[in-house]
Amino acid sequence: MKWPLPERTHPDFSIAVPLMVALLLLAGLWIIYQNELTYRQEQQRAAQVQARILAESVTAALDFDDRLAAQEAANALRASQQVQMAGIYDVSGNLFAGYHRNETALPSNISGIAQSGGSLFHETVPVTRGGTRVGLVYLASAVDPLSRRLSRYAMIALLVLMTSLVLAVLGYGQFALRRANRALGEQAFSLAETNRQLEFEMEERSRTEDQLRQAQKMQALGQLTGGIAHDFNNLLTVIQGSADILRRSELTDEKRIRFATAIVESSARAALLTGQLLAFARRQPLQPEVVDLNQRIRTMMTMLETTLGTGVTLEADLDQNLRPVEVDPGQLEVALLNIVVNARDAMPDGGAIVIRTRNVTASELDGSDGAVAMAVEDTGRGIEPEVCERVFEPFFTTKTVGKGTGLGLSQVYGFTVQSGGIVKLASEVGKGTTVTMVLPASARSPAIEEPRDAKLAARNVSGCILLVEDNEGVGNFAETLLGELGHDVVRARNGQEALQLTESGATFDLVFTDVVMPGMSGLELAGKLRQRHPHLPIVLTTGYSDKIASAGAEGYPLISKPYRLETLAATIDKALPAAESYH
Amino acid sequence: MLHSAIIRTCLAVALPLATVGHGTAAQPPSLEMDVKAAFLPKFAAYINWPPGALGAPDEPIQLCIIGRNSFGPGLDEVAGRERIDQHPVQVRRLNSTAEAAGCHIAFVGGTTKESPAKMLGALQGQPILTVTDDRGGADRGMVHFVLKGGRVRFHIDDALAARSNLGISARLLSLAVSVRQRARA
Repeated sequence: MKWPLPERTHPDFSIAVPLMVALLLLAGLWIIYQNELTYRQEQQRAAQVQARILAESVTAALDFDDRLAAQEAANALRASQQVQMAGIYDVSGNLFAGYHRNETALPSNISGIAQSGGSLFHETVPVTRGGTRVGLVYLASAVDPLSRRLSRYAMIALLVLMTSLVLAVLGYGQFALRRANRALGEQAFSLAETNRQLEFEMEERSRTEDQLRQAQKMQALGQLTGGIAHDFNNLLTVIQGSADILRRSELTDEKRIRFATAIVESSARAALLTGQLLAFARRQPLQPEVVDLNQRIRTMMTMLETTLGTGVTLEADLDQNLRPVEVDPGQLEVALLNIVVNARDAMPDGGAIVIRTRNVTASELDGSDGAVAMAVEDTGRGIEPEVCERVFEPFFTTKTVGKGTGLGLSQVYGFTVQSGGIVKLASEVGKGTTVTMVLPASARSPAIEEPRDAKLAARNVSGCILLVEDNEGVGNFAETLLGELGHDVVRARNGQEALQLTESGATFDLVFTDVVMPGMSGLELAGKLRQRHPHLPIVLTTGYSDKIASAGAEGYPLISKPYRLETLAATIDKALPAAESYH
Repeated sequence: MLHSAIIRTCLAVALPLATVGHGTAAQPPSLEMDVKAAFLPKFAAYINWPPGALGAPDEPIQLCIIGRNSFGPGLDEVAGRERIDQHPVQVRRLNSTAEAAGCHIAFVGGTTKESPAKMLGALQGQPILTVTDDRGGADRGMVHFVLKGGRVRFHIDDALAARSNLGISARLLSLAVSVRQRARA
């Protein structure tokens, strides 16, 4: 933006004001001069009038040679301060009568009368009677003393001076204002310049920040990828190695079981890892159940103790009247594990971890008539306040590469918030940290959990299952598993193929379909199948699906990948009984 | 001619002044009369005659000297110089009031046949300013010359003038030794 310097549009007051003052002074002087002139004229006229009066009043006295009367008439003028001399001369020009106020005596003859000059007005008036000149009257009148005249003009002078002063002050004010304006204009100009520069710098900085953010993102992504790759590689090493060994035929049963177990455990850890990834994004499909938190904690205690290793003690302080909560139990366990692992890592030299549960009233939770708090206390090194603010950020970790993904507490946060609760963190450096999950209490009662193995053993239904899976490897594996469970399996590579198979006359007891597939998705397929065969049970499976994460599984049973044999068996069995009547 | 007359008048004025200090009335009668002669025509300038009494502007004002008097030819000289608003002054010397018709100012001296009082009585009611002299007797006209402090002064009887329908200027009244006031209208 160009800021123009102010244009000079007004007349220059620095010249105008002195000019006006000078004009004013001139006008004042002129007025005084005019006044003086008028005054003098008036004085002259007054003297003339007085002389005439005197002349009129001494006519008879001159006529009849009455000096006394003439003197009296002259003396009458004494009353006037102005009249300095008054002389009455007879027809032959000699002084007849008169008086004088000051030292200067009256001239004895008419020829000695001064006509002008000095500080006096001189006035001579002939004395006539009936057209005949009988004498002369001479009057010398004084001008007001200078001091008196000055005092008369003082008011004018004062007015002029005051006006001049006001003008001068105004002029100076104008001048100062204009100078200030000009300075302001220049400042505004330089300000605009600075602003432009600043804007440019801001743009530059914003660009740099964008680049930096991008770089940080890339770094974070690299860190995450590195961490995950590291973990996965470790797990894959175990799985691959174990599988390689299992292929050897000369293995003893004991070794075979050991390596198979290693594979199962590594896979579980890998699943946990991907679960965490989804949890931090708050995108894992939650399957809330009414859960007795105390029960879950008690069940996990042994596993947690194993995780902690030596040097760290674990205690549970559980409220016996704890209200149930409605959460995804799997994610709850992962969250608790994450908190406990973090607590352990904060105490490399050992310490104590206490898990407490309490009923609380949480005003922070909207629309809940109560809440349950689960707090995990440790006696670790604590967290610095500046770090405290960031611990829930995804990818944020204080651990070295490979030790942590920065997703643990992020999962805790994501899961709790997604479940309608909040997470609190209290920490004091050198004393320890408390992580508290506050979850809305549920009015419902927890279902009595059946042992899984018993369930698997009790149910031994089998049926014909249409397996829809685009991934060859997963498809083969699922087919094997389902076969192991005693089902007949028909494979379809996509939704279209599955539809054709159901239309071709073949009957199935259950459709087990992947959700994310090219072309028709598992959900679409399920929808179409439900229209045509309303009683055909459908079970969905997915590693991750946008739709299911956001909208849920539309009431269909869902098995998350990777799934365990018992999970698959339980879900399929649960869905099948209705299928008995399908034929 | 004119010049010498002025000088004479001045003498008449100066001389009494010189003698004032002595308090004596040793004034030569001729000089005193000269002063009175100088005064007489001047009175005309201070008198208001009733309408029609004066006549046309160029008609003279008649100054009548009736009976005894000590005025010499100087009076005619002085009167001849005088102009009262264009009116010349004409001196008439009369022996009787019977001839007084047309007079404007009358100096009443009296005769053996006619006393001043009688003359004044005869003139009374006519628009004639009557002038008497202290030297001529105690009878007073409207203007009555006296010698006071060695100077010629006069008394004025304004009441008498009023009876003759004459007005006397206040300026003249102010010079009088005494004034007998006219009755207020």
